[in-house]
Parts: sequence; structure tokens; C-alpha cells
Amino acid sequence: MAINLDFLSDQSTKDRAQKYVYADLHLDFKLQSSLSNNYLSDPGTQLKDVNIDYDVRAIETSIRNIFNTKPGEKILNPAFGLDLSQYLFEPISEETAREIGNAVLEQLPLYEPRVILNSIDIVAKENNNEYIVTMSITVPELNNLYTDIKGVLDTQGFRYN
Amino acid sequence: MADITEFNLPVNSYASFDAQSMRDLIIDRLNNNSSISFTDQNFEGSNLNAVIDIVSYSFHTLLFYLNQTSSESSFSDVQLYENMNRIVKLIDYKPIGKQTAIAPMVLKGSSNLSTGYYTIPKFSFTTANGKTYSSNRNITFRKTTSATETLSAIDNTLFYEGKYREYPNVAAVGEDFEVVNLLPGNNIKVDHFSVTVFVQETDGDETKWYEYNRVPSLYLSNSNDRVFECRLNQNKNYEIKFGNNINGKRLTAGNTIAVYYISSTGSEGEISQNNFSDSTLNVFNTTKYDQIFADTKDKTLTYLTVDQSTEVTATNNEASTSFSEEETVEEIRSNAPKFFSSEYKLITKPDYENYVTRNFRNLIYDVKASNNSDYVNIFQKYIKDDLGLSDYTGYNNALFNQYEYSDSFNVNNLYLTIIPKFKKSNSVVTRSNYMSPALKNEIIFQLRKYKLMNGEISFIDPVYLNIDFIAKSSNEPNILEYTDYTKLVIQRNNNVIINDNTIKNKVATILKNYFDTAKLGKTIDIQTLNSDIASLEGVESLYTYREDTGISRNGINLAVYNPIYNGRDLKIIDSNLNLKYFQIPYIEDFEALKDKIIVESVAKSKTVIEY
Repeated sequence: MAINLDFLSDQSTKDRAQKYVYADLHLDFKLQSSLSNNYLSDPGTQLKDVNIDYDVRAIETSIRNIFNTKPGEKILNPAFGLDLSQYLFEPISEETAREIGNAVLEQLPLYEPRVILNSIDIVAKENNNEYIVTMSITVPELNNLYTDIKGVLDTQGFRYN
Repeated sequence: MADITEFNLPVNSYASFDAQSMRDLIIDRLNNNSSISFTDQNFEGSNLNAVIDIVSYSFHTLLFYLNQTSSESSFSDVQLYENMNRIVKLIDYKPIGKQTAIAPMVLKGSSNLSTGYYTIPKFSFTTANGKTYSSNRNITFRKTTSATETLSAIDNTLFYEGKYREYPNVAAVGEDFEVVNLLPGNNIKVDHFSVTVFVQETDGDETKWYEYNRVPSLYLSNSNDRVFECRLNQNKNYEIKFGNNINGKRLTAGNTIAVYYISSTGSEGEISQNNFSDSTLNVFNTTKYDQIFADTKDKTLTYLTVDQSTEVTATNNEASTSFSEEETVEEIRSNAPKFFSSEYKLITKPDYENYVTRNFRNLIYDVKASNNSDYVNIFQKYIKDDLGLSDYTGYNNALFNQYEYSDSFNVNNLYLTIIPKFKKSNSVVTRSNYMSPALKNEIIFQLRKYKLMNGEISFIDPVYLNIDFIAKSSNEPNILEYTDYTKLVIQRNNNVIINDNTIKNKVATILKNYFDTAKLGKTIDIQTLNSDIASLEGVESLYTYREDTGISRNGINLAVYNPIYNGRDLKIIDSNLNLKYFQIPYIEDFEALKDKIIVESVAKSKTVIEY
């Protein structure tokens, strides 16, 4: 028999989610808010739900995952991810930045269909051994929301500023 | 029970999910359940999608192991020893454990030992060159002269590699079918057939040790029988089980159980001929065993004392058998149904063959059972018609077996033909590795409890048939001397870069492997040999050729004959030959046979280019 976990569906969270188009787990599993505890034997017990990323935050999470996943790492979709590790031992230069930019332009839309990648600007910072990545995206489902995403690509992967 | 779950899935659908379909189902349910807040399950880059992947793959892996586990409960599919052991326990099958190396010993008594009957107490041992071999039963012999003499033992003189170990005392609880686990330690190799149990029983003020006999099943025992069952369990430890006063005597609370077993050193303990050369015997003694021995010994026998034991020496004229590991899962799968069909009763030929093969597998290479009809119609016919003998006086082995083992009534004998492992593959002279009388007696002793009550066990020693190349014309008589002039000619392809000697060695190896692995009653398949050789790289064709007359025959032509009788039973074959059940082929002199293999080039016209 299946276990019914309806008591975990926090009404306030649901209400909030309905105001958003996209909702994703925030995998740091930070505790977010108190849950209704009417279903528990001890009403004094405090329950917490996991954090959820909404809309642009959810898309940003997805883009970061695409940047940081190498093909083969996602078990059920081995083709998923940008193979940026091939540039790890390349000299940090404008030429390499261009190649990275082309790779992102080509592949990001495949794995993130929610956005239109308008432009990408990658600046090589030789002294810091990193690239500064600035992407301009449009999200049609969010009323054509236009936004810039900025991040740093280095040996640790891609992270937002 | 409903056929559909509350999620609109068949109840057994869990078994058909793989990771991909599980993932699809989760995503589908998340999409269709409005009470759930998440939306990003549909996007490959989302965290939620990654979590779903992990959950789905975990499910897939767990299901794989679930299927594996299900298969492990089926006798035909089980792969793990633990599970196979448990399954066959249901039919009371007791898997065979490790069996230590065994060597028959020739015993000598020195002139200091006065004449008379003596018994070497069991557990006695001899040590030489770092190897220790022990006797697992009393050996009674008679010293007939005051000089040093070879002793003729009444019982077999088999010694088992390793030394007897004393297990710490165990106090009985006194319950029905009480089980004692023998846990000597992980690296101790306990010989399967050497576990010996004594129990100290109390009757009023008197306490006395009794030996309990090992039986194949307690259910064949009477209520007061001092017996135990010994089973190698799924953890490869021995369980010693006592009775319940209905089948076998039940232990009483407070009884002391003493267990002795041979601790083998495994294959390191195997010995070659004469490792023991007049090595003195030692009588096993410990404080506890001395008490046990005093209580359990047969008072009518004169036991060799510790002092006298130095006057008896042991020599192994034969190499030991090999150490053997536990029955494997596949062996159990093969043996358990045979055991189940015979149920501790030996009736049919396969019953005898399976029992002997299983219980003496470190002594025996192959065995065939036959009845009196086979003996008269096949064996005696062979002696009379093929060898031309009118009675047994020209056939010592048959005479010895008839005299020593055959029942006086003779028509109710059950004959065993056994190829021992002793010297199986290292004899380079006329093959004569028959079972020693000691081993034959041991087999008779073991079979006595299960054999047909109106049949006596006797033996037909195997007939080893030598193999050689031969070619003759149809009008010539069958004469063995033709083998002296016959060669096997291999025609090679010159376009293949390969050495003649390499081809010759490969051909010789095919023949050697074929006959080294032969069994009793084998069909010699010339077609297979021809095709195996012809398929070698660089071989075009082959034929058998006789140098003195120039006769040649396609493929291999073989002489198959008993070398002891110089080819009286010679068979010349160029196709298949079914050997009789007591016959086994071998190559007497492999190097000589190899020298008869000639590699020649196929003559082909060539264009010669001169520069």
C-alpha cells in the first residue's frame, strides 16, 4: 500500500507556488518554514519543509547545473551537460573564451528550453585563472522577462557572482 | 485483492519498472497532481530532475537485486553457496566439505617389537619433511617374526594429511536434536570425513566417555543409538546434530561433548612417493584424550603404546591424492538430485557410481558399476575372446578380486571399476594404477551400510588400453608390430608462416589432451581428432603412413590394445570405437608417439623467379 504524504503539503507553500510558473528543489536542503502539524500526534512538534527556488532562481539553478555537469554524469541522460572540462588545461585566452561561448550558445538551449539566450559575453581573466560569464536571457513564460546572469567559470566549475 | 493499485497501476507492475520507466512515472505523477507544488521535474537541468534520476536508478538497482534474490531461492538458478546449501538442506543433502590428501602407508615393525597382534590406535600420526599424516581409525596387524618385517594390516592403512585437533569441551543443553557448531577458526581446513565425537555421560556417580558414530541421517537410527549427524552448513562450518531419543540418543543436560577433527594444510600437504621413508609412528595423546581412550578402547585388543610406537615405521610407496575443496554450487546442483533419488539406498548402477564418486572424490578419478550379467557377458567375454585366456590364472587382477572380494555364490556380486587418482597421470610405463587393497577395503566398508543386502561388492580392475598409430592393408592380419613403422603425417600449408615443430607440438597436444581426459567406457572419436588437427593453423591434411610397405590411410588410424597382453585384443580403428565399461585409453609413451608425427610440405608447382 502506498504511503500517503499529504500532510507534508504545506498549504502556504502551495499557495505561494501557484503564483509562480517554475518551482524547483533547492538542493542545499535549508529548512524553510514551519508546516502545519495538525496531522501529528504531538501538535507541539515543529516541522520544516525544504527550500524551493521559483521562476528565475529555478532557471538559474538549472543553468548552473548544465554548466557543471559533464556528459555521462547524469545517469538517465548521459548526453546531458556542457563538456567544459575540455578547456581546463587550455590557456586562459580570448580564443578559448570564444570557443566556450560558442559551446554554450550551441548547447544551452538544448537543455534549457525555457530561455532564449540572447547573447553571451565571456571575458578571460588570466591573472585570476577564471572567466567572467555574462549571459543575457529572455524567459518567454515569465512575460518575456529579460535578465542578465553573471557568473564565474574557473577550475571549480561555474558559480554565480 | 484488486488488480489495480490506487495509482492506476497493475499490482505487479513494480517488477516491470526499469529506471527510465520509473522516472517517467514519477514525472507523470508530479505533473498530474495539482496538490504538488513542483513544476521543474520536466526540465533536465533542474535539481528536482536530478533527484528523480537518483531515486529511479536506486529503484532499478534494488529491483535488480530483488530479482537476483528471487532467483536465489530456486534450485535451478541459485548461484550463491549459502543459498544452495540451505535449499538442499530441505532434502537432507549434506554437501561435502574439504577433503585432505590421503596416502596409503606401508607399515614395518622393527625387531624390537615382539611377535603378536597389535592395534595402532586411531589418531596416531607420522611426521616427515614438515608433513604430518594421521590415521582416522584403528589399524590392527600381526607381527609374525622377531625380525624387522612389513606388517600386513587387517584394516586399510590409509593416512590422512594433517593432525588431529582437540576442540574445547562443549556442555550439552539436553534438548532434542541438539546442535553443536564446530567453529575452529576461519583459516582451519577441517577434513570432511574426520570429525569424531565423544560424549561423557553420567550415570549416577559414574561418568564415562562414549564414542558417537557418524551417520548420514539420524532418521535411520534407533532411539538408543549413540550417533550424530554432521553437516557442512551455509557458512561452511560443521554442525554436529544429536538425536531426540526417538531417532538417535538425546544428550542429557551437563553431558560433555568432545570433538576431534583433522586440521589439513590443504594442497601444501600433498606428498610425492617416499616422502615418508620408515618414519616412526606417534600415538596421539592429550590429557583429555587419554581419559577418553581409556573409556572407549576395545579391551580385547592390544594397543600399541607410546613407547612401542617408535618400533613401527611408515613409508608411502605412492604419492598422496590431491587436497580437494568443498563441493561447488554446480556440483551440488548435479549431485543433490542423484542423492535424492537414491535416498541412502544403493540400488541402480548410477546410485553406486554417484555414491562412490561423491564420497571418495579425493581418491577416485572415475568409476563404473556393473552387475553379474555385465561381468559374464562383457568382462569375461573380453578375457576369453579378446585376450584368449581360458581361466583367471593368466589374469592376476581378476583372480585376486575374485578370491579377495567376490561372494562365494558369485552371481550376486556388484562390481566396481575404479580409476584411482594415485599416479593417474605420471605413470610413463605400462599403466597399472589400480586401487590398492586398502582403498578397496575402505570403499567396501563405507558401502556396506547402503548397498543391496543380497549383493556383495567386488571389483573389476580397469583395463588400460594403449594408443598408437597404425596402418595396414585390408588383406594383412592385425599385427601390433606395424606400429613400429607407422607415422602420422601432417601436410602443411607453406603459405602460412609457422614452424614445423610448432605444428607437431600442437598435434601432439591435441592427442594428449584428448586421452588424458578420457574416462571409463569412452568412445574414441577419430572424426573429432581428425577435424581438430585439420583445423590447426597451417595444416592442410593428415594421413597415417607405414614406411615398410608405403601404405597410407586418410586421417588418423589408431591401434588400441592392452599392452600387458601385447596386443592380443588389438583393435585398428579409423572411425569411432566404443570402449567397454572397464576400459580406458591412455598414451603409454607420449614422447615416442610424438616422434612419430611428421610434418611435410604440400608439393605445389611454383613459379621460380630468377634474378
